[in-house]
Amino acid sequence: MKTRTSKQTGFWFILPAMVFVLLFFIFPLIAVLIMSMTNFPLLGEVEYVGLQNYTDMIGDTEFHQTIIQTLIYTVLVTPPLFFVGLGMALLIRKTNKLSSFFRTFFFMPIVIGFGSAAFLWYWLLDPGTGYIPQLLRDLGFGAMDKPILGYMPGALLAVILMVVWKFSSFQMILLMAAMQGIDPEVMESSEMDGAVKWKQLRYITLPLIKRTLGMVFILSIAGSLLAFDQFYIMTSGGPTGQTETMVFYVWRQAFRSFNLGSAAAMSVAISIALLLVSLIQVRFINEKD
Amino acid sequence: MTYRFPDSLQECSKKRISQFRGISHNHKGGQMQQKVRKKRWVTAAVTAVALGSSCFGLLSQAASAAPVTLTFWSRPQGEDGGIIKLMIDEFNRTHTDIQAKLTIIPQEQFVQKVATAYRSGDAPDITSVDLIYVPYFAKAGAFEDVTSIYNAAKYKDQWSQAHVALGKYKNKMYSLPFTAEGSVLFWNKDLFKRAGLDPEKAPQTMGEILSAAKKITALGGDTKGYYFSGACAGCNIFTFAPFIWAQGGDVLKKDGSPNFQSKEATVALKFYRDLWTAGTVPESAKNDNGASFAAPFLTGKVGMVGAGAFFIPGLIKNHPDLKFGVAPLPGAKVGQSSSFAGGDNIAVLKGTKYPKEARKFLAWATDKGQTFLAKQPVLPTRLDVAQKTYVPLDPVNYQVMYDALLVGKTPWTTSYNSLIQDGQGPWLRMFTRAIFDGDITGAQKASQTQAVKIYKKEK
Repeated sequence: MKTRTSKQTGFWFILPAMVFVLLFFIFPLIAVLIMSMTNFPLLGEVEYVGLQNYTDMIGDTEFHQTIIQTLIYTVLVTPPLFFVGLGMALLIRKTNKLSSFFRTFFFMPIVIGFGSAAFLWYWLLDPGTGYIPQLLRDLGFGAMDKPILGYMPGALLAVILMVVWKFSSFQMILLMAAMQGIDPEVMESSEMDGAVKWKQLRYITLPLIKRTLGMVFILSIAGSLLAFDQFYIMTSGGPTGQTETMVFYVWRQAFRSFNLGSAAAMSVAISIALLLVSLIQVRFINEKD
Repeated sequence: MTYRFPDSLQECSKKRISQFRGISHNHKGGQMQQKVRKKRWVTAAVTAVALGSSCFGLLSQAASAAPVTLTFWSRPQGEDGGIIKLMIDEFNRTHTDIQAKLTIIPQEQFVQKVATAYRSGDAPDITSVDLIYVPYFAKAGAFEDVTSIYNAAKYKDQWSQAHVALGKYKNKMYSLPFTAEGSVLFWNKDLFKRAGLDPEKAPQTMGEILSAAKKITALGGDTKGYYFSGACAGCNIFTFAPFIWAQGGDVLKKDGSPNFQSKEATVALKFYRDLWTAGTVPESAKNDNGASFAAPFLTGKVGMVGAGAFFIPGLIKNHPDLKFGVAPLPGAKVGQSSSFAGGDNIAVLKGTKYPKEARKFLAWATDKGQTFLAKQPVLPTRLDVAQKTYVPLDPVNYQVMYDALLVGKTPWTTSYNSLIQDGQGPWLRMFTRAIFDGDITGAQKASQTQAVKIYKKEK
């Protein structure tokens, strides 16, 4: 009887969260699934088209190109995000007078909105008025009158640089928290055994924060596969579509071509792909455990 | 706040009650009294109904005497975006039976907002919509047929023909011309003079623009001859397409199908490619998604730029030292010119509760409203109003705008967004590949293929 009461109480506690998830996650997901099987124009009659949007997607070479570009971006952005985040976490893991300052300093880019950060970098890189080309000019790197964002691979690298600046501190916080959770005695023992810093990191720290590492990778990869804002603002997908990502293409289908049915089908496909990638990653982490 | 019934209504109640009393006091005596009593009840009932219905009628009249409020949506228009608010204030000031409530929607979100509001039944009564999107809304059946207002208008021959053409769908008018824009060439007279060019004479052909741009660039430093936003689709349909039209070519065929491989388009793209390879355009133009648009001209270091009527008032007010001229965008030969006829059409959304009042508003906006806009100054869509009110405000520059309105063109398509406006769509891809990469015919061919695919899908 006591257990049942406890279960009932628990149910009432989680009910608001369940309602929230139902309203803002499950129902929209079902709506997108239904939309993906219709032509769903922004205006006009909605018609059921079955799996037409999905078969169209299979033959859509432009969409395929954006998938490749998104994967390239993900592969390129994930390592620097991780290593910069890890480096910063190692620098500030121990609490002292300086670390508080650096923690705040490193974490500051996180509090800036993604859109604002992208705009900030768009103008920082402007060859006419931006500080970065001006700095490079002053350092003798030439006229720097070509817009970095107007050429490949400059455009892609500039976006990666901005994302690393903006997000590595988020990874830093996660990794730092995990590192602080390691029993100090383990570290002290290793030091007594003569382990140098590098070996401590390789054989003690990283294995002990493996779960957090996994989470950091999942977040990083999922976030990169869903990249949109930074490219929309900084490169508009250019030059000539070479930095257009999957989600950017979905946005174009929805809000440029007003073809919400196709956009919904692509969104469903991307969601399933992301789910699979995340499942594989989680499984990989668990197996290693 | 307490509500007081109108005096007429109170008067009515008193009058009707005294009428009822008058009837009841006229009947007296014996058996007659019972009959009379019965009759009284019947009379009372009838009178009560009559009194009630009569007073209810007056109550309704009193309620309907309150002004009808029309909701009106617009994108920001005019130099500082608030011109339409001034016009709405003027309408409200001069009307007691109808009032309009304005909502300004950011340009980037405008079509989506109107469309989703319409779909959910929350659409405004009236909207001013960028005329390039009018065919899309008309095709979707979102606008009321306003052919009768168009036919009844005394000044219909005076309307900008580009606006009328865009307002028409299947031989019916679904929107009326409201505000106008036109693309023209601005040139810096000081730079022309320093480069040894006649500062009072604008280039007459694309070739002359190229030649002048080279001479201005030769002045050295960071002075450049020409500017355009290389990564902005909308900017370039506005300022580049006229070079194609001026030669007699077109971007889209009359049925809206793509026409990106015309020889006129090749000539115009070659002209821009030459401007680019000659170094007459700042490198920053390549990546400009429209954030700068014509602003580099304001620095005084750019010789020429394409812009519109909206650019003139700010230029005069905020840059009094910058001596500039305004000229039509030319073609390949002397005498050829064209312009992009921009601006808005005004339409009544289907499902409005106040169709009669909305039509009244449209009639005002296309008549007296035009004069009001012209005084602000906003280029009106009525040629007679433009000539009488707008041009005299700045006879030199505004006359050029008036001429641009006469020759202005606008692509008619129900797929404007995907064919033209899309930053990764066929129009801008043709433009950037041809100008920055140099493969002009290859770019035209690729974009034509992409555009035909979109056209067929969306048709």
